[in-house]
Amino acid sequence: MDNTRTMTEHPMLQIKNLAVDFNTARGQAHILEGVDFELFPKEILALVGETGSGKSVTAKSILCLLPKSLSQSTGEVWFKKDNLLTLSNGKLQKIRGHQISMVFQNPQSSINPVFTLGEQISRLIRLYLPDQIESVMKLNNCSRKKAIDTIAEERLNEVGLTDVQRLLKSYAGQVSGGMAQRYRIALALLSSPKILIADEATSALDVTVQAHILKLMREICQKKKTAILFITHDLGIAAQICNRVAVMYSGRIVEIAPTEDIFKTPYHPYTQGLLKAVPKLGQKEALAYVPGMIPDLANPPKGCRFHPRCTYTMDVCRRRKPPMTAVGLSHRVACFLYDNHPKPRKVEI
Amino acid sequence: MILFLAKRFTGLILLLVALSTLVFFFTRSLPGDVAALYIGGNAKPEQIERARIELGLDKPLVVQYKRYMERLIFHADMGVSLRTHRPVFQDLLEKIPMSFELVFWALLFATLGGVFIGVISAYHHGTPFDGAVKWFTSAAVSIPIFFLALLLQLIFFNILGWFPLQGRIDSFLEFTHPIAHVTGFSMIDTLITGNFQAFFNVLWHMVLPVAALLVGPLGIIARLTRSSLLEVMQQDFILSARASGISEPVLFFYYGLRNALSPVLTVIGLSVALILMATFYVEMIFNWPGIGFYALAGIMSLDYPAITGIALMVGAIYVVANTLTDILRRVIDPRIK
Repeated sequence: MDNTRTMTEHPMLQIKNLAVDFNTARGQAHILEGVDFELFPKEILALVGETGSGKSVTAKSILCLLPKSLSQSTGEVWFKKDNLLTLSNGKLQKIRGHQISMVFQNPQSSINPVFTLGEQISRLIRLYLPDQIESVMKLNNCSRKKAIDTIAEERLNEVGLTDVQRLLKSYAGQVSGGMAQRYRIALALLSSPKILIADEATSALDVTVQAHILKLMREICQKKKTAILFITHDLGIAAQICNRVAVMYSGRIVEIAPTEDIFKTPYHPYTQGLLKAVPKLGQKEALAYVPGMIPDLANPPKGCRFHPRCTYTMDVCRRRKPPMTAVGLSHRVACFLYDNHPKPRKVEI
Repeated sequence: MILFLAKRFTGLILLLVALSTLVFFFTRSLPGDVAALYIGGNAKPEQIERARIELGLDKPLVVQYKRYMERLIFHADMGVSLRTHRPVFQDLLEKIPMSFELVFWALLFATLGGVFIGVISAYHHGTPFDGAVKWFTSAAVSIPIFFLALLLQLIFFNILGWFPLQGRIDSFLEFTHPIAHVTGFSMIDTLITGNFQAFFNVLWHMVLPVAALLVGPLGIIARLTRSSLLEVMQQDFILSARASGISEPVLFFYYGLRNALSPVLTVIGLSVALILMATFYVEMIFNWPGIGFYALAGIMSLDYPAITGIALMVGAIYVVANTLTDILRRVIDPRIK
């Protein structure tokens, strides 16, 4: 992957200082505090982090899917010429699904159980592809319903689903997890969106199915020129299919770099800890882990949120939030260790 | 589906047998001399004795029970009413359509109105409108029905004068435009005979009793629809559909509602029984010549064949209504299979 290319290109999606607060019984929880990153055309960016680090919240707030009564989002999410956070509902509807699609973790529960798969896909075909329906009708000289069926069948074949006619008459409860996720991906890619957000899209599937789905996603997105924001807690997946990796910790991106760089020379102490915790084949000694727990978000530590768990904590870490600093070509890290000398410390991997 | 229906049908039969047994022994254990009631006041002791033999009351209870069940099962004969001196079955057939008209309209409007109000208030949840609906539904559920009926009469007859006080049709229309007896349902009979004047008059008389019947079920259905729908709107598939660019009204009325309807349908089935019981008071208050009126008169005069008949009928209607709602639930929600 040519890492320099991304720096010169104009980003497809730019997130600036995104902060999300949730109202809880114990007061405001600061789920996100200043997330910055950008997604370039056609790239696959992994957003990795442990449970509760704010990956899913980031994904959902891009499309303003968090309930407004329970949360406030501030900051900017630029897509084309619009800040999505300030768009009206009507305009958002034209972007959701049409230009930015999303696939969620649990494929079966994200399909409506009381409508057949056919009813659901044809509704979206009518919503996204009115022109294509017309042209298929003219081409095949057939009815609207037949045209929609033709498109549905074609798109479901594309994601490797066979016996489509039977599938279209089935309900969510009657198909396997792998099939359901293929179906969801077909729905998400119906409109050939610019961006696909995959929120733990393969985490609920078993490993072989997972591998197939990953391959499928990468291939289709290459063909359709769709960029992917791939949210996962699995570093292995990130290494397999992503161009760049952004590591999240407690509501912030702490390190972002091309995949190779981050695995070879991780800078942030948290990234280093995470990589050490990846199990290796044939490993004899006990698995390393990052000590401590993810902080209480209603009452997070001052300064750098990682400082209570960090081995290199300095005075400044307790007082101020570390800014994002460039430590290499398209490699940025939020840590005071690299304020003056951009060399990674204690890389023992 | 066939298996399900067969099961339900057997259940219905068993329930009716159990119910008739229960009602038989219950009515027989009530105090009061049935034969004396049957023959009327000022009867000589030997006349009463003859009536007792005629009714079979001199035989042991077990023999009476056997005879009663045989007649009921093989001849649909529920005995002769002690009050009207006509076969109870015939009385019921005549009265049921009148009540059925009230129950039908009340159920229809309670369902449509309740579901609609429920969806709208779920859509606007947390707003003052939603608060007002909550307040209204609480009041609707908790107001005693006889009080509501009297209140309606007071407001709409006494003060405003918009609707008639009671009865099914204006008494002069009974002579000028009598309702022909075809099906027994006055709305249908007046329509097919082209008796529009009577049709609108009956409709006009129906408004207050139907209103009194529907308020309670409407409140329950509205509340349940709201809470059931709000729960469904938290589900993954709604989030997923929202992320696909589906508009909020479509999400609520199309994607969410069908999921939310299953518990609502159950309650609608139960409402049938609720409304049927409520007609007992409402028909009394509005002097509506239906089954409720007949039942109350029967209970007052210890007319046990009539009481038995009504208990059986209410039980049967209840089971049939629940079976129907179960079938509907299976149609709208494939998960139930």
